Amino acid sequence: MQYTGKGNNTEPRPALTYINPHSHAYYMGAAITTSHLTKDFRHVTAVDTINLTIPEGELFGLIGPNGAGKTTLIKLLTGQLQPDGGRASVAGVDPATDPVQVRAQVGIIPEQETPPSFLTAEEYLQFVCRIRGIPADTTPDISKKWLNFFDCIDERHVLCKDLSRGTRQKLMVSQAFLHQPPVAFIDEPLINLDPLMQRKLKTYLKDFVNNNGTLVLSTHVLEIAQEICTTFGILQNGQLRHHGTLEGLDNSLSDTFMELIDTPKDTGEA
Amino acid sequence: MELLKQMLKEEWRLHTALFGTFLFIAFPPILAGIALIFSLLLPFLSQYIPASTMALFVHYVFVLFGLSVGSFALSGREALHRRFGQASLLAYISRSLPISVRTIIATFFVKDLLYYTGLWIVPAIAGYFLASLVMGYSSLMTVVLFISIPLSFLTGISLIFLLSTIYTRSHATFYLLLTAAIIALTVSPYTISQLLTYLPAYQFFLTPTIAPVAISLAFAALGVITSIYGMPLTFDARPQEEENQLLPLAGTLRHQYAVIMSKDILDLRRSSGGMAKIIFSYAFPLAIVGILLNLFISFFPELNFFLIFAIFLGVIGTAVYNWLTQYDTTATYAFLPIHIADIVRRKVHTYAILNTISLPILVGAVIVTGQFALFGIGLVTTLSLNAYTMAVTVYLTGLQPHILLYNGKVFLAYMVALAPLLIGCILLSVFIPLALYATTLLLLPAIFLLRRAMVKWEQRVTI
Repeated sequence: MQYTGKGNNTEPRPALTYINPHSHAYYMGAAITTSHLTKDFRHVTAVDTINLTIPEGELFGLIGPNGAGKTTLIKLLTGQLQPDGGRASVAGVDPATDPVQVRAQVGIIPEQETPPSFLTAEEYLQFVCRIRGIPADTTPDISKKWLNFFDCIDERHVLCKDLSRGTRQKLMVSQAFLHQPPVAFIDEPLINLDPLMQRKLKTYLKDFVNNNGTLVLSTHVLEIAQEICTTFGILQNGQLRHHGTLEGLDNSLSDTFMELIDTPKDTGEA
Repeated sequence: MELLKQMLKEEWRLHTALFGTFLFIAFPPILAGIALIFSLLLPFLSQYIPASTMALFVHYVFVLFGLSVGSFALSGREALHRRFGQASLLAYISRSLPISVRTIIATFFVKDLLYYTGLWIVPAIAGYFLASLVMGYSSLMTVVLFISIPLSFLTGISLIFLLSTIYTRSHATFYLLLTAAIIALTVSPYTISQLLTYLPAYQFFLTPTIAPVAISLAFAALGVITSIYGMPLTFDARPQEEENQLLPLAGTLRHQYAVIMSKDILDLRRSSGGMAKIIFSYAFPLAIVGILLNLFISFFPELNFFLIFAIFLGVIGTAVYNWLTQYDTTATYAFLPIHIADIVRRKVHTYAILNTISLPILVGAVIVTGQFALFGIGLVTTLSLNAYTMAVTVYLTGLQPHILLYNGKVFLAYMVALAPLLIGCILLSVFIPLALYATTLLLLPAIFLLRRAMVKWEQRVTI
């Protein structure tokens, strides 16, 4: 599918106002930087001295095989894990020293988590709004806007435990963007969505980036990364084996990926 | 037969995973040891309490044991999910394998009976048997206990299967029966203590004849057959819909995090059992305390029924905190901008609100006992113990009491913090009731522990 550009989609979608100049998110230069970021788990170095810079307005594809360290890296960047070495800055905040502030600034679609079982779809979005400090009187409008965006307004009163996987995923995507963050970390956002919704979400993500938002997309699906990402990072065994644009590759992303993960890591390009 | 074998294996693995292999394997010998010591002390204890009363007590312990085993079998799925993530049991496989629900229920019942008889009832009776060799008790009594104790357990487990089937089929019938039972108890010319002695298993213990055994078995058959044929065979696939109550509930509390309290209330209300879980958390243990006090108070007239009830009411409140964390995980908040201490703080607030139920219970107790002069002491004791118990629980277990209280070290610390205090309070209630006002001093360690808990869990749990 080709991106048709901003404004071609006539369906209503949530407003895109990403950078609040009075917030911590207003910073010069890169949206995300890491310097020698490292995380060890007993006998495994899950993230190995990663140096990375992601400028504002980029859709960065984080790809790699299972266990490569993608989820650990995202957890480090969002303050869900403390690093063992190095440092990072996300939206102008150090996630190691101020994890709550960094999570206030960014949106996160986690790898596995689903909405709480005993809240309804609408209640869950309102719950997230309030935790994020969005005023109570605007919360119902925001939740309705997102339920409408994903065509699941009719299911707003259904408890999350009884929603389909697809609808639960729609809620997880909605909760990551409802506070209009400048940066978002999204782990397999298209999973369980039907083709129509996948297309709609991809369009939204591109709009998000076009409006100067920054996205880190973790995925196994190389075709999706190739279709929507502007830059890539290929992780293997916790090391960043490649970082660059699609245009900078000699071969297709798929061939480059296969080559890199077949190559012993000490000879790989970092 | 294969299903039964696999269910037995599964039960073993479940328990070793819950408690740790060593602790679980050690439990039967410990149980035998406790039974041995208790049996050796029988001649001494019988100077104060008639042997028949002690026997009645033991039989009801096993009835309660049956009730608890049965209730976990029927409603433990959500608890398992919280403890083991996506874990499931063979009992829930009928949707994916060609095994009928009826076969599963029948096999499950037999499995529970065999498993718990083998692992817990046999060691307890073995303890008595060893004591009988030392003390020269009648060996016939061991044989009698070997029949009457499993019958008590069978009665408990059958009763819960029967009641849960009735509840599943018709809530109205269940509540009607409950009301009828309460009315029957109220108008009955017999006291509760007298009625308790009609337990067939206990009757068999007193007079080993075939009739009580037949009655027990008939009751068990009623429970099992009702469950097998009464439980719905299809699962209700309709999604559960609810009106939006999150913001209205939080609305009265303007704080940003009031929605956490709303969520806690909604979790409790909408999960299986509804708010009845909270009432049951109080009613069941308090009924046991009431029955035990009823049994023993005639032998220990110094015991003050109302004050001891107030003490236990204070300690039991901790179960409410357990429920509040049962349906929540830190993963829910992992990607949101909130401190763990803020979550714990809201749980404590919700706990305080839910625990207001202690007040009407205490008022009921003072009306029943007529000890109005002691109401002030009772109230202070209940509230102080309530706060202290909750603070200890929060400090030791954070947001995971349902997991960490299974940890041997944590449980030991919990017992050290509470058991001596409980005993001390009971002794004070007997000898210097007015001194129970001093329990207000517990508010100081409670506040200290709560403050420490916020720091501790903020540092230990990264979300």
